[in-house]
Amino acid sequence: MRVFFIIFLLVFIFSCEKEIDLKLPAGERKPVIEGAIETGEYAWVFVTYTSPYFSKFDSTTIFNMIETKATVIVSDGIEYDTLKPVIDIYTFPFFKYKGSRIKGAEGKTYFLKVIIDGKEYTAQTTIPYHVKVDSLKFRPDENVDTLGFIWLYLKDPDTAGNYYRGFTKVLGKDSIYLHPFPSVFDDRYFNGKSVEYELYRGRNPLEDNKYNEQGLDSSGVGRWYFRVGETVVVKICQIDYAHYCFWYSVEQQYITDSNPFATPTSLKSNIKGGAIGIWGGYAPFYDTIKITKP
Amino acid sequence: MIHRVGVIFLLFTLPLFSQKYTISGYIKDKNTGEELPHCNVYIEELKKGTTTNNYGFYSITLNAGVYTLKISYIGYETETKKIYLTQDTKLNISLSPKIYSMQEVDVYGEKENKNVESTEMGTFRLPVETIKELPVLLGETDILKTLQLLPGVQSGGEGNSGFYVRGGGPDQNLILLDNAIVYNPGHLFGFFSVFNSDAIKDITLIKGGMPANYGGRLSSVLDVIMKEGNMKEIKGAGGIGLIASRLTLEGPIIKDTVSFLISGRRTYADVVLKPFQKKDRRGSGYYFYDLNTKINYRINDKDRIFLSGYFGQDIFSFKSKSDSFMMKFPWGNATLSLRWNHVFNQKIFQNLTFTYSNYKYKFEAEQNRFAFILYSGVSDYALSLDYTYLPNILHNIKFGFKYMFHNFTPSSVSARIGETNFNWDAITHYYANDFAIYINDEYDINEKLKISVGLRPTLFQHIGPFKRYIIDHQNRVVDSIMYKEFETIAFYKNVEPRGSLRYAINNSTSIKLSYTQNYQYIQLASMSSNTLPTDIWIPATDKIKPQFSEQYSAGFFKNFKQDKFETSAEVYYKNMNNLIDYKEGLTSDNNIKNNPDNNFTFGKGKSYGLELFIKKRTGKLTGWVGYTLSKTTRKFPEINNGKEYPAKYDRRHDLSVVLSYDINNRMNISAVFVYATGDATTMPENVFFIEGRIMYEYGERNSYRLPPYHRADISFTYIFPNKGKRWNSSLNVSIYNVYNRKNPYFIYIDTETDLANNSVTMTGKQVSLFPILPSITYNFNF
Repeated sequence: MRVFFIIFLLVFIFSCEKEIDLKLPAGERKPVIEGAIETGEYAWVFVTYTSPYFSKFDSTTIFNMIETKATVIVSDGIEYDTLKPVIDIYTFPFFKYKGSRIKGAEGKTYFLKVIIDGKEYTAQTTIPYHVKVDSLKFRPDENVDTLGFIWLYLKDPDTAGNYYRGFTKVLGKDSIYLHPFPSVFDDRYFNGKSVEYELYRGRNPLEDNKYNEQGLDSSGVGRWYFRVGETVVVKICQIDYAHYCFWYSVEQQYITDSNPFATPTSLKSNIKGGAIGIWGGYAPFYDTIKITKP
Repeated sequence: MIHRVGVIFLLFTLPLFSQKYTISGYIKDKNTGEELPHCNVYIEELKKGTTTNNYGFYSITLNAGVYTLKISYIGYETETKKIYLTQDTKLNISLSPKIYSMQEVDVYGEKENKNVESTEMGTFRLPVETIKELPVLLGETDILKTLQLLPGVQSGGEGNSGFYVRGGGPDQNLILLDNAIVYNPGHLFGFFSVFNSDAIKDITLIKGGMPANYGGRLSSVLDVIMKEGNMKEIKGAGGIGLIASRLTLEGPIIKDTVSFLISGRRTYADVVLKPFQKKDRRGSGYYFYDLNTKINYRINDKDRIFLSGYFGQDIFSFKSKSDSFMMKFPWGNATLSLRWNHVFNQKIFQNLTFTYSNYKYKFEAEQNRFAFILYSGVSDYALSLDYTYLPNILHNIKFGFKYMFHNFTPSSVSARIGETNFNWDAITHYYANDFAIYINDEYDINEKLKISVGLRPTLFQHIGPFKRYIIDHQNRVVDSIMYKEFETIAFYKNVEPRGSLRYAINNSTSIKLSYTQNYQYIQLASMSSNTLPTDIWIPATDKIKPQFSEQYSAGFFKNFKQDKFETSAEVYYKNMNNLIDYKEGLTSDNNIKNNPDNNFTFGKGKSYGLELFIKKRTGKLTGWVGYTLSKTTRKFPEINNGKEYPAKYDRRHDLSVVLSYDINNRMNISAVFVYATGDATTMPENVFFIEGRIMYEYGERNSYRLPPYHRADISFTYIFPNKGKRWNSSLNVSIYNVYNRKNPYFIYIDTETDLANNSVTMTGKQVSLFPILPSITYNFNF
């Protein structure tokens, strides 16, 4: 649908844009829970709040959106892990809850309970089985051969219902695994087949200030490109259906939000009890590519 | 209900016992020989009359006697004939056009008190000539945009030719061009209509009280008749405008027997801009064209054959060599009508019509190793037989049937990523049979009371071959059912009663009531909140029940000062059932390897309102003021948590003022002012962070109002003196949006995040489309 937006902009050279003083009614304040558990890793959860629309958010507004006194418990049905608050300087908003007892394992289901002021919010997720990536390949842009994208090749398992989410990490440059846009896909159209898939470079929201509105850096290079000379770790995760639906709805919202003709997309949360957010399991598979000139 | 209506019919058609004779014939233009539809034939002695049908035919049956016939039509000299009726009489009458000069703007173009006298409600007729003086956008006269200035008709947004009638969706308008359905009446994403005004003779819009001869849509009928071609001499007309030019040629092939018309229009921005295009973008551009053609063969006084066609296409292409990006996006309509008119005897007029309609679009895109093709379309073949039976002056009976065969291709997709081909299954077609019979009688019970009653039984059958995909809760295809050729998948039968009544208080005042029931078996499914060429047409199926509506309306009509002023007030209430929409959060790729109707959700709608209309018909200053106060809502169990919400085009207030002033015989100045409540839209009521990015929690569907829309346009028309030469020409200068109002087209929130510094800035932005826009058009005819 983005295409139509471009068409409209091209065709209607007459259109003009102005800033307006937007007064939007404030909705009810709700908790936002964003958490995950990954094979071989402890669970982590961010607990924040929604905020009414403001024209300007400063440190205080953002700080007030963080819940620091929640009780966060993860269980695999037998054991319990009460997550402890930690500072994470690499991930906004820098404050999260992290587990120390239960590590994720493939094929298992995990339960999340978050208690805020006596109110309980619950969710469950499953870590599916990972899918191997056969190979990675760098394909340069047609015009600039030092910039390009990574193509991954894999064989989708015969069972229907594989949901994928991809991340990338450029060694020495990215501190965490970052997801590109779009980051999720499913096997609806290629169940059981060999497929190739194009990955853009993941974007770090903490680095937004390094790029202009079109996503170009100071030398005019797009943030979605990988560069010759970089070593990139690709992380392809299997996720369950509810987890996939959430990220799919997030990415749909990015699209519809810039398209005046689309119906707005609301996020498909899997948290029960009135909170917005996601509790998701990841079954990752890692592969590394050193990008050289083809 | 059915039986009772049947009895009423029987009663009305009982023979009357006195010596009666019929007078009938065609009414034509003296100069061109073209028949004139909706002409008034008035019997002075009886103070009663009739109008010619779409083909210029009239018939009146009267007691033997002496009568004075007055024949009038807008833009023509009124003709008076004295008749000694002692036997059945055939009388063809030719009217002379008034000498070439400014014509009074007359929205009806009809008998002075037709609005008060007839049983019609919510019906407007527009002779095309009157539209041409009104201000236009970018120099293109547009009949659909003129219709939007009438009460109860709302525009589909800034500059858009789409229209919404009494709270109904854009697919609820039956748009007919010479009886063939036009599926997408818009060019350039709806900014211009497909109707080239040079090729159009007459337009009728029915927004309530639809008679039984029309059906298949819930909200309105727009019946457009193409010109037939001059029977006397070769004539031409055309115009040179800012974005498009037009040329029409018409004339006799055999004088007074066979005539033709050919009319074309094309935009030329692409041609003009070509030399200035960057090398990188060669091959990019946009244009649309229309071609209207018609052949009219008058075999004898009783038989005539018409063949008419419309072909139009929009082509948008974009190429960028540096991004290795290519895109092509053509879409368009084609219609074909073949008709045979036959006058059986003086009282029965028959019309046999075959029509073909086609609408399709294709979207092709290619970039590097990615290619994508999307195709969608609909085509129909229809056969209809219509009779008008005029047993005496008190009755006007219409009956007939219509059969249509539909072939829908809602969406077919194929794609390629790298070396992997995705041919998403064979194309799924939806085939359907659509059958209707109808009877309608307009009956003058006495001086005061006139009624129109009708009945329209309809059948609809969705037939194979067809592949129904079975999907699970994860929206995945788990199984499929194959239906064989001609196998019934869904079958619907319904009866649609229609009725209206007029009670005349006196010669210039009347009260009218109407009730209609409509079923609609085909619909347009739109992913977006706006109509785009990519919306898909789909029939009623085993999953989609037919849409159904009931409309009640009442009106008060009064004319003042010898019909110099017309006024009316109408109220209506309409409820609609089985409306369709996509389920929340679905995207277009859910249509792939799936049946689109697996993705729909169903709900109800209702609309009610008051429409006020005042018009000055004659004098130097003419024009009208229309005002609508209305409310339109939708209620879908699976949308907005099942709560009722305003429809996007719910407009509490809608005001149009249209004025036209003849300065002298050569100069006219016209102005239009519109005011409408802002569009209903959905805005965020909360923001939050997910993965360090701002996300929105939206408020209730359509709970936010954009600022009101208002705008004024003016135009000035000058007719060049022709000094007795064949060549006539005029110049129209229009200024759109005179006071440069920045009307909101849409608003959005622009977010700038600098999380490293804990800062987020959100700015509300409003995008407006058209600022003050002058345009100039040169029109000519010879």
